[in-house]
Amino acid sequence: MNNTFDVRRFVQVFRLSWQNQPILPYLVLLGMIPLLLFFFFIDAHGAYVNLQSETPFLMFNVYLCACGWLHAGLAYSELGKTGGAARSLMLPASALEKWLAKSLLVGVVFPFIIWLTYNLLFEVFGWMSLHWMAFRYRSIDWGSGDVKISLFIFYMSLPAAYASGLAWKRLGVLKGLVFFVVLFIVLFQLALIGTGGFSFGMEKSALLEQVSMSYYDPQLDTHTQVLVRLFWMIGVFIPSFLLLLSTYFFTRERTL
Amino acid sequence: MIDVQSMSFSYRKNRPVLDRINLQMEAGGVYGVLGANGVGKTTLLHLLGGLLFPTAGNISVDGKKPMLRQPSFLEQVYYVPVEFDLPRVTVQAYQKRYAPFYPHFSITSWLHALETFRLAADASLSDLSFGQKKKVILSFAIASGCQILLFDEPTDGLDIPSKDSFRRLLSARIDEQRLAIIATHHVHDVAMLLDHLIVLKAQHVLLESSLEQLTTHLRTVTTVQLPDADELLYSERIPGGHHCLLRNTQGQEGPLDLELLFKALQSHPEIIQNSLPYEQHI
Repeated sequence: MNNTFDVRRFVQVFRLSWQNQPILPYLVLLGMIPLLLFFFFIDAHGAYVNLQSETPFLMFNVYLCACGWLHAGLAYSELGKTGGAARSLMLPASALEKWLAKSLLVGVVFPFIIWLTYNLLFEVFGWMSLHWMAFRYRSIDWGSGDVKISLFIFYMSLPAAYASGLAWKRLGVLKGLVFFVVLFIVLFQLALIGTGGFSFGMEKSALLEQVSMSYYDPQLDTHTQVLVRLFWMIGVFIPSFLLLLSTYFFTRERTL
Repeated sequence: MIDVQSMSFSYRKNRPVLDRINLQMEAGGVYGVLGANGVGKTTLLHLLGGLLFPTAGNISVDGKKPMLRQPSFLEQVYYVPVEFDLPRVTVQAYQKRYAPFYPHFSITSWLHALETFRLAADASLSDLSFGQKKKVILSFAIASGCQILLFDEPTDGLDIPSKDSFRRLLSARIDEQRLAIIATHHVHDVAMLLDHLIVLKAQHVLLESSLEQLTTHLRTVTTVQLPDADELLYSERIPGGHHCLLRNTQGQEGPLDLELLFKALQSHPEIIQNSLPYEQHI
């Protein structure tokens, strides 16, 4: 018997993880977005404003980040109680299979289902609004830079939510959110040292200016581009990846 | 089957719950683990199930290390905890979700256990009482086909007929290949099942013996007058007489009151040790 990874066992674990963490409440909440869009439409002044509106994109972003965080943070909620933890830790599957199943669910399946459902809902809502009110919101351009940035933020912060649910037995998502927001503020302020100001004002250090504004700038010279990418690699990608990886070792070494 | 060598465990540094204990358990037996509150009964089960890792020493369960929690180990060990948190599904759905992980799971045993406990397969787990939920978990454990069954207070929350059902179901399931370990305070509930006894006290194993050996050397009687001091090891007053633990000098056969033995061990461990011809860790 392969004690590290077995496809049949992995499929079973994945199915169980899927069954034990229902997605339906999130979809119901997602269904509220078209209703909210409808109210925003009533308040708006003229169809032109709405046609150019970023509201759907903004709402989807807020929803994905909030619910994605919540979903990821609750992935290991059963470990918070002795009985649930015993059942989960003693489930006959390897630590890798359990971790991979949950990671796939949180990082791939959940966002995909949300994206798919959102598009379906948006299409239905668009058809209805066009049919009854001769109006339709602009669809989100999924290939745009803004979407890439929002997905980037989502995926870079997801391991933090995932780890929070593991690190704290109770209210892990909330505690994690507070912890990482505080950490972000501290790091941001540290990065501003030397600019004369410890605030979120427009004055940024040269480094922050470069890396935040120029990441997608095609006109950057190669040298600066490498430095910017390097900064992101060391400052964001690697810590985020290590945090995700740490969750595997955390579950493997987890005891009651 | 289970070999515990010089195993220690502590939740906090320098405050061991279990200190260099040694235990050997063989298949085909039902082991009772007794001890006062906080003495480490549940901790011992958690260590055997790989839910806690020993701070020193070794545990080997059928040649495997529990702390690695390998699938080949986990599919042979089922643990019934005191506290459990079940998903909001029906009894049948619970079985369908978890049974595929246990290759020797027996549907026949499962249905038989449900029937014995008078549980409906279509009942929702969230609507069941604590005792009924316990019966679901016990049914699953018995049907799991696991070689090693770990029970922590299995009769907690069960009504009187269900305790009897549990005894019948478990005794029918334990064969030469299987082993059950029951940690409990309610020793009367499971006394008929046990064939080995482990008593824990102050981080150590106070007594480890088969019931057969114990009954060869000890017996319990209820008398109006206290028996001879030579025979008497421990007694307690009951209405109308005395409940006594005696040396079994003449090889009489009779039931041994494990609760009385436990009390005797708690108050006079050395006297009990001296009355047993084999070595105990007292």
